[in-house]
Amino acid sequence: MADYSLLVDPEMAEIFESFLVETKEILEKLDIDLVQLESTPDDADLLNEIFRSFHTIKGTSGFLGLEKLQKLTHHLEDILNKLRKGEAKVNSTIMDGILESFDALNELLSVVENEKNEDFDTEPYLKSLKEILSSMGTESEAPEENKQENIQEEQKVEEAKVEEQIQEEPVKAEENTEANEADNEEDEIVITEDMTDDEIEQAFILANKRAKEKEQKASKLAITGEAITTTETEVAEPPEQKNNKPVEVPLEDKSKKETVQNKTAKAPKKKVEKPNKPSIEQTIRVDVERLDELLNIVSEIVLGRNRLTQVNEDFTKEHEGTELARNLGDTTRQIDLLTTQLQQAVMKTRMIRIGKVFNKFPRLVRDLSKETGKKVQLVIEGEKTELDKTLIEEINDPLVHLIRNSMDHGIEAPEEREKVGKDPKGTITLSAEHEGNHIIITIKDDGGGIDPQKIVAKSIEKGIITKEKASELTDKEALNLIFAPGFSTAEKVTNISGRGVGMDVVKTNVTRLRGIIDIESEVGKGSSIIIKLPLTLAIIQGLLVEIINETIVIPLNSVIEVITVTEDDIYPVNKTECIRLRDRVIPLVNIDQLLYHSDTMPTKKESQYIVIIGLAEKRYGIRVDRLIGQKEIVIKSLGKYLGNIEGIAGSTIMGDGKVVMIADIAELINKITAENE
Amino acid sequence: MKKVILIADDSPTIRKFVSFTLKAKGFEVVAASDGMEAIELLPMNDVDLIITDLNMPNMDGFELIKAVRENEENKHIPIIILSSLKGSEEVKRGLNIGANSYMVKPFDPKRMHYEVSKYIN
Repeated sequence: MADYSLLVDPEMAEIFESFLVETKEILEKLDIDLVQLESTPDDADLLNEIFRSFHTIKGTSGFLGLEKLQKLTHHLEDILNKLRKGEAKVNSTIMDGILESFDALNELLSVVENEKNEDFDTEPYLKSLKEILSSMGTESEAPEENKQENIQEEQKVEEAKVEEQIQEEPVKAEENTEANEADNEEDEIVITEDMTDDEIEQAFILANKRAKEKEQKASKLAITGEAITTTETEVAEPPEQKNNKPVEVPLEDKSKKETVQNKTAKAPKKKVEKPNKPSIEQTIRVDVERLDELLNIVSEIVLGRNRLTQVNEDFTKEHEGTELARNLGDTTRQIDLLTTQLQQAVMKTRMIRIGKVFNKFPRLVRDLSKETGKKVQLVIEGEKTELDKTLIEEINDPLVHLIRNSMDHGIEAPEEREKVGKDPKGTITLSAEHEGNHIIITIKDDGGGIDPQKIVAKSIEKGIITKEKASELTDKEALNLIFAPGFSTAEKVTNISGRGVGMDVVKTNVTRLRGIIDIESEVGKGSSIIIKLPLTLAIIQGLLVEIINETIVIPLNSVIEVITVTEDDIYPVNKTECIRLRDRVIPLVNIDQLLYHSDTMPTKKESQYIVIIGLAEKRYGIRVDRLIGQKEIVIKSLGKYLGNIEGIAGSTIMGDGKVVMIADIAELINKITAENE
Repeated sequence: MKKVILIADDSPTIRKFVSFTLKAKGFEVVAASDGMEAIELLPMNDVDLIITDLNMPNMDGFELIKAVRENEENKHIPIIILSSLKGSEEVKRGLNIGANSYMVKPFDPKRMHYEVSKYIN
């Protein structure tokens, strides 16, 4: 029975933690490497890389007594070893077997992480790996296994011996190692440089015999190890000599000087910290909760800063020219600058590369290709683009769905593609890039594209839209109907995209992250889904406006532009007030009515500000009485008492201490659309 | 005065494990993630013993052993190879080019201490 006590040993906690992080990182990398291997099966570097990955997991899991993990990776390592030595070639059977076991490895690791044991059946995987291994080449693994057993036996003896010495003569063991070495000579396996493999093996077998006699004395050890000493004319110089050895210190090298001083003087402890060597352990792992807390405090500081700025303005107005006003002004500006820097720095600590999400997709595409018989290559661009951790987690599911969708509905079957003169292999491009305070994620396929007419017809059939409305739609608007709830153009519900989640769920998810989703498509050429997300969730840029004596924040990412019109420019279309902007008719909405169900109409003025808001291709105008300005807004939730108010994303505290509501443009537009129908 | 042991291994877990084990026994441990880093660290620390993995990126254990043995300053430093049994051929090669002994991963802390104490105390 394996012993998992190490996993819960508090002394080992840090090492176990480090093991989990390292192994997860390796598995993530393997995920990409293995899929890559399928397309470049002869890449020697890649094979070595994969071999080393399994090798490392094998090594580290052994330290923690994770036998199953060790065994599974050991088998995988064996297969990779044969592949990299060119004894066999990658084929689909081998690949499937490796991937299957790789998945099992992932599952096993999560069991290890969560349950602190290896309660997972690896036998079927070991069996299939063994089958693969035996089919791969003539060279049998058996001798090596035997050898290992021999050595493991022997190492028990060694352990026993060490144990004995430590127990019986602790002082002697510590002080006089040379004597110990001599004492133990007969038990050591001695390997000389000119010995052949067979001779080495003989040595092991011999040692094994001796081992039997001492085995009873062997104490149980959770982890075992092994050492073999070579016969050397000079094993090591006496340590004293070394210590007295003069160290050359070039004067210009500060680091050396410091180290030597440390050593020769008194504080040898400092050395371990390696002050001038930044390349090791340069990262520290921080609990996400701590980062969240930090962000929360920073948000409060931003609010305080806004307040301070306001107070400073008011104060300066009254006491202009006084020294006190100048001092307050200087301090305020300094705090203002520092707060912005602090906020940016904290934001940066939360940034993670989107590659973390993207890198899971080659495997997804590979599996789906096999399932559908479609040939697809996935191109990933901009995986180094960084995004807030919370967003990274949230964006995964929508992206999975969109890729499944592209595979299922976008890319055509190879024969179909050939018929229209396309490369039988389709391409899905997944890219990310920064655009100001936003990240743009695009999923593009070179498939059949979407016919707007088909979408419209389907929408009418499903009752999503009326015939009259449909006739007014532009192609772009028609395409966006696929995001409407209850829409699915798939003729039949397939395993891939028909999992009960439609594009509307994707859209809801993206909108929840204050993002915008848009679609572009050309029949026969392919489609692109474009997702625009804010870099962070907690702090947004907002436009402060006043509507009928009420201040409201409109998130700047929804604001397309602000225009001034005269009353004559506003005219009714079907009872809705509209304006014409660059040949486009834009309906005006009464935000007051939408949010507060009041009938108060904004006072009509000769000159009227209109804020044009947009979501995907939809545009609406909001009448506002006054534009207050653009500010960084910290979003605070309304709390349980008020709960979710439709159309309100949250609230924020202004510089003067007033609480102001933040409009949820996506919800508002949905509301408008709903009320219009 | 504490003896300094340099561990070169590309796995942070193993580096930590070795550091943990040896620090508990009163040694100072300097860690490098590959041979290159180990070479850089050597002149900054009066290293008494080197424990190295063989399979590492950038500069592997063999190159490290060679470099240490070819350097007048460092050639006296005992080197223990830390490797898996799989590469017994490789271990032999490592011993051939100047390593003093080897340990197999995984190992018991006592085993490691015993092995280390052969060279330094």
